[in-house]
Amino acid sequence: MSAHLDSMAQPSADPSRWVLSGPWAGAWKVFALIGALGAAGAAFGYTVDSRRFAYAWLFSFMTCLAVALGCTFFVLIQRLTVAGWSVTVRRTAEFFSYGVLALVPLFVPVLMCAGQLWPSLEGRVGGPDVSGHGESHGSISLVTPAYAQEHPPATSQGGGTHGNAEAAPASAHGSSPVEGATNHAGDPGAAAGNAHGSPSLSSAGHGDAATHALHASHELIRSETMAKKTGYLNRNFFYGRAALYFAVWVLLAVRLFGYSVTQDTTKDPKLTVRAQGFAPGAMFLFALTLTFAAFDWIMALEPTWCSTIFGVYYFAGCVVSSLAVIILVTMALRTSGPLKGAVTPEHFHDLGKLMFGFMVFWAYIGFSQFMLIWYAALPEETSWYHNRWDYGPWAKVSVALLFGHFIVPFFWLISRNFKRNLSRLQLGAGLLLVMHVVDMYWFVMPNLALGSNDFAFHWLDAACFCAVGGVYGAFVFFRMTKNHLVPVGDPRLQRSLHFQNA
Amino acid sequence: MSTPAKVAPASSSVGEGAPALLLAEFNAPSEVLHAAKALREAGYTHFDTHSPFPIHGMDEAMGLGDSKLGLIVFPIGLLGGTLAFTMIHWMNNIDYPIIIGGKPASVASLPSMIPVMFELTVLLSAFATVFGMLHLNKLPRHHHPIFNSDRFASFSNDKFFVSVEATDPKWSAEKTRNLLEAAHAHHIELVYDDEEGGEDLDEAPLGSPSTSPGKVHA
Repeated sequence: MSAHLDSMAQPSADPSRWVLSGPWAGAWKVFALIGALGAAGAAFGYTVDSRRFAYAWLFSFMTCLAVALGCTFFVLIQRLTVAGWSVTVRRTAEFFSYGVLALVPLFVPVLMCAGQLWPSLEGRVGGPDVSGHGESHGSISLVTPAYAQEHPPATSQGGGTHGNAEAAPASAHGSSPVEGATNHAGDPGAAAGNAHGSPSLSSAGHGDAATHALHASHELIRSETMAKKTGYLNRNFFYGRAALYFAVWVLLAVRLFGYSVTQDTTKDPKLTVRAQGFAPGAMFLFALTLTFAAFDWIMALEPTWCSTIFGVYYFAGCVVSSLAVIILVTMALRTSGPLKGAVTPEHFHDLGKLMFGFMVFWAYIGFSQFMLIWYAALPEETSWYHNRWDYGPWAKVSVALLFGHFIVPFFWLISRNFKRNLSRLQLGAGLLLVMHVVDMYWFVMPNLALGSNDFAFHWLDAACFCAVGGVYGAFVFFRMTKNHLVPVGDPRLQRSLHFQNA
Repeated sequence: MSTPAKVAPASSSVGEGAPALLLAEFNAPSEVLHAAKALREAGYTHFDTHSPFPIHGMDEAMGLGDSKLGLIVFPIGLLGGTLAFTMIHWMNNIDYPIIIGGKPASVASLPSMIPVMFELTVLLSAFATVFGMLHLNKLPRHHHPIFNSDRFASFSNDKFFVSVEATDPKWSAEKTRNLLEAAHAHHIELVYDDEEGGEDLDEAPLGSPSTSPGKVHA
């Protein structure tokens, strides 16, 4: 305590310290080179396989977005809790949070490919290009026996839609089983139109009713489900929401970065008070935008599937990956000089504790989602795990996530000594960051080839990841050359410099 | 670091015995920090410091090292998880196999066991933490000779104390006193234990004056 009181009286540290120098000063150039090479590869890949490009780019984008949003969350939490310990590491988080500015233009390719990723936005239901597979969306049959009995597919009449009204009382939109019967064969473009009750005189449906019955009901439910979602999953609303998310994230990042950086020169403690006043409302905006972005950009890849916890799941990944990044970057900058003396094992211990805690939180949320779906075993819910367990190499990736993102780091990082041993903490953070990339890959890529075992890694995935990660990293590390690496004007800086775990 | 702020009235009994501990009083936290460091460097192990608030750096100064609590909690937490698994496995899969929700009565239904395993892990870990902490702190303990000192009560107010137990292998009434004096203790006293472990308080007649210095020899 006395040491703490004494330290408060010390004069403020030399402001020429804590600027980016040494080997990391040119890091942004390396990142820019990686980004340029990746972008060239991605652009070439786009001409080869635009659909693969779309998924690979979305995966890369969501991976980097998670780091940026997780860092925004870290800064918000420090402001909300009026934390003194974290002042010296907060600026690193602010840089990575500020990097969301670079992610705005990087979202443009996603928008360009929105039709490939989310065909339902364009009024199409099925997953394009995989229509050769019987179940075009790759899920197990959506039809429960009871539902199929209640909604018998009309196979013997080729009449208008409304003739089936009494057969399908639940279908408020007047969708027709007949049309469903025609669509399953591989015309994904038509079903959504039917969902709105457009009259259609299909000629199919005669003949082998038994074969078509299940598929017909299947498509019926699918089109009904999608019809209910068109109020949310339509192009204009989707684009509007995306604009809103980015507006909020840019606002939060710029404001939080601005308070802190302005204080470097003005030393005005009122800025700290204003940042603290800004944080509570910002946290609400942050939570809502992140949740709905996860719904829109990942969950909607398989639009008939939904999980209300999904936003939290993505959020948990955000926090773990961003803490891993903060640990790795501050450690590198400390070793190479610029942050020497500013970040101590005490800070790493606390960052490690947070990372460990949120890693357990990630597993807790992931398991919560899994167990409810596993227990209820409702066909429309199980498709997420069906697609990630029963097709292609995904079962191995799922097991790798279980071990690499939870079991191994749990036993590695649970010890206090391991969290205070910097090289061991570095290894744990590195593992979790790699597993975060795998996690995002596991989120996005199975939707590329639903219902097929054809999935294999593609060089485009790596090219897109280099492009997005390189540009994001270049932006962040370039920004680091422009500002102090530590909030030198923060009134709690001395407290943080001398911080000790009790 | 500091003992509970329980203050016993000074004992009025006059029994003699071996001194229980040497109590040194300081005015500032930095002084007690240096005294603790000096004691540790001199090889003392059975000593404690008492202050109204936590003093940063005291763990290092006293050479306390890391808490051993984790070594107690971790295996007991694992035991809790194992116990829950064994319990459910035996009940649902062996003793009375039962299929719920179409889930097989086997280890394949592990997901349904995990919430219970998680909870029992947390429960036993919490118990191990609380009771392990009490055990490591040698609690509960109803009496300690240090409360025989009149001056000691101010440890919860504005004074800082170092107590060296007579059980310390390095203990010597003279040398230890010299060491504490060198550390600028502004008051040192030798504290004796009660003959009957403090029960004399009950035996003291009602209304007897409790102002005598008791077992304290300054």
